[in-house]
Amino acid sequence: MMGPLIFLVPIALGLGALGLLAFGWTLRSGQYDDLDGAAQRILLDDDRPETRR
Amino acid sequence: MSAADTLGQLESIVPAASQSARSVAGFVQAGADGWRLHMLVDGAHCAACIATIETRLRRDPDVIEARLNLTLRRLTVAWRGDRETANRIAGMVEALGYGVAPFDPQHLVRVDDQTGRELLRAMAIAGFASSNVMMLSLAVWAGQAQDMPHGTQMLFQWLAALVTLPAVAVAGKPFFRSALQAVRARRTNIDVPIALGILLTTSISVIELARQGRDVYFDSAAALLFVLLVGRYLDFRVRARTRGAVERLLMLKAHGAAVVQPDGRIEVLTAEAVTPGMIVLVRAGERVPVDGHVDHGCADLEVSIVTGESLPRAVRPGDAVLAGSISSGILRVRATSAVEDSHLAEVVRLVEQAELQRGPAVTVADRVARIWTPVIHGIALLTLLGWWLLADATFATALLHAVSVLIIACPCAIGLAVPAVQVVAIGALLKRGILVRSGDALERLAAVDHVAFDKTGTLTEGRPRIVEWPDDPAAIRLAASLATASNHPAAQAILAADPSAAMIEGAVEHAGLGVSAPIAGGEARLGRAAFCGVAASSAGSDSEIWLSRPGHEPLRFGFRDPLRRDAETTFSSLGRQGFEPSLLSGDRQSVVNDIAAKLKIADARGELLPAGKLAALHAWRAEGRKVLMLGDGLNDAPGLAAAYVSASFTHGAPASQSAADIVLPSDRLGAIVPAWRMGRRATAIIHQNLVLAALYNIALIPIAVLGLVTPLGAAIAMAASSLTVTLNALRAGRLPAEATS
Repeated sequence: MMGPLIFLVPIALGLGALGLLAFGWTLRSGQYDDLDGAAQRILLDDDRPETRR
Repeated sequence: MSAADTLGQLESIVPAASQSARSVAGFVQAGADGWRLHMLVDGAHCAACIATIETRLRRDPDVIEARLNLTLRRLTVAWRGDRETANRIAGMVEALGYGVAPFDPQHLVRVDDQTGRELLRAMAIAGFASSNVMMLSLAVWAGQAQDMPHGTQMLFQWLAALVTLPAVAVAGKPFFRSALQAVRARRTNIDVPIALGILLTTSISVIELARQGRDVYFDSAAALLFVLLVGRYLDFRVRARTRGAVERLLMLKAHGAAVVQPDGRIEVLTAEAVTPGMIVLVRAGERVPVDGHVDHGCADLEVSIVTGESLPRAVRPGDAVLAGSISSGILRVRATSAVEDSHLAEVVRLVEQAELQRGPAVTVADRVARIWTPVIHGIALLTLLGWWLLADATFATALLHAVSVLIIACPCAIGLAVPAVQVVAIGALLKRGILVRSGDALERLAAVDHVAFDKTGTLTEGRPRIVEWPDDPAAIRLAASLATASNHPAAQAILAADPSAAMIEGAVEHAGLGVSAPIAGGEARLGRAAFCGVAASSAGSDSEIWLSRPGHEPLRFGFRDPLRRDAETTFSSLGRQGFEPSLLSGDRQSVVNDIAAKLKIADARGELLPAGKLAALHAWRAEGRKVLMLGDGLNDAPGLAAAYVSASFTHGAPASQSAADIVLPSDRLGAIVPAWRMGRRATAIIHQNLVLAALYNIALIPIAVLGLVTPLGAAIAMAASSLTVTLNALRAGRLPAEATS
């Protein structure tokens, strides 16, 4: 019974931690700074990527 | 000198190109690879607005980056090349039909962004920890019921500890910090029992784990943290949202000062940057940015928002003008004092004084904590002594039971009970255009026992209207034609009756007197009684204008600042609730009495300076009355700050908005009634929630005292009580119809 648990539980925790890290990255890169704008921008039919010239 | 000459001279010193878009170069910052300008955009609210503005700006070859933040309505533009391109960029956005106001991001409070991110991060960590620890704990509880080997149970508990301990250390910081501050200041707030609860739960679990005992509460600690952080974050969101909205209102009004430089250029500076002696240009319809003396030009100043006087004041060269008044014509003003010495700064000082005397608000949650904390700690101590001395348990067991009382009684649902209701109620008011700046403003609104109103701009419309017309359509038409030549509020009011009136060739405005124009058979005049050659009537020369024509008797137009349309219904619905409002006005006593008679106000005081209004509110406070004050003027700001709770309007002076707890939509006095009812309802639901949360605790404390609480029981109780208060809070969004009895 202990066998599978030894690696399944760390994998489960690891995946959760990965999600947490991803969330931290989105937070730091300012993706929650303009929630209203993000909701509206999806309607923009603009195929060009938003790059700096 | 005639007004037309003045106009011509001043126009000549204003370069034609800069008429529509004046220089905003003062707000440009040097960026990494060029220049950067931050602007507040008024009127942007949808995807189409984002596309229009950003596409237009990006089409410009110099522009590197253009991004509109729709939440904050802020536009950031970066470009290469010339600093002066800023004017072209602002012009481009204005040409699309949006109002822009440049601002310096350094002047904005940055705290909000950081606090929001910290809370969101803490919430994510606590969420991760609580879900994973719950997964491990469920396995253990299931294992205890069946036959999981002891070693596996211990492994799971250790893993839970591994996740919980760092999560508590990081995500618990906001509570620990606040509790530590309170303890250092020898106060107690809601965070003290929360921090204590979290710490005790975690440490007792670690000890139990080391002893291989049963009472391991890591799941409770993590879930407690998560639920509390959700409440904290909701609370923060509401305050940040309304504060952002108020900040936007203020920034759109701060237009900066158009300073005439020695070389004749006109540059827009922030009002703070204006020093005494500088010449500031004020165009028709604009606010005077600083105190000063008129250097050149004549105009009528609308001072209602500054002093509360309803009728305009005529100024000529040499006269003093106050910051905040609206000019009807072009003026050149020599600044006499820097912003920190101005009339505005004096008012701001009074506001600060009043806020200092009012002291920080004690919220319901903190009041509950003050009672709750000693009671619970007392029960825990009795439990310890009872088990140890009376029941002959070992000290360790007695301590465990005592701590389980503290864990069960930790004000988790209480932490959620108040913010959840405030979020729902403030959000519902926001949909009606009513901004509530702090959660506890609703609590204070519900406790109000007296209401005081400002007059000009609050009960009245704040600008004069013609209320007595002569019975002669031809004369009205002629008066309207003459009125086209003037920006005087009364002239504008006559013009509004016949907007199609054609301007008469050769019409000349005589500032402070009236307008004259040549017509067939002589000269027509529209203006003050003396100007038209008649004696002023009994009503006084300040509330009438006359029209004189060759071959006719002079005709009289009476004007007055009329009551708002919803003033009477507001008063009758306040009257039904048992309020007897007072009136505090800066206007002349005769005008105040007139309004008071119409609205049947017994306590009407006129000719009050800002300090006078402040004194009136202090007197009420000394009597122990809780006063709601409504006002929109600069002169109301100290009174608003001193009141128990206060409301301003979107159309009001910036200082009044920042002093008030609530900002009502422009020109809608009646909005105070639903706001008050919402405050009552929200407070009632908050009290229900606190009782509900306490009931859960009270029901479980005896079980904890008897030492019968298990980790599973604690988890179920916590989830159930949090869910109950949250669901109950959702009821706060509906506003019941007013009882008509």
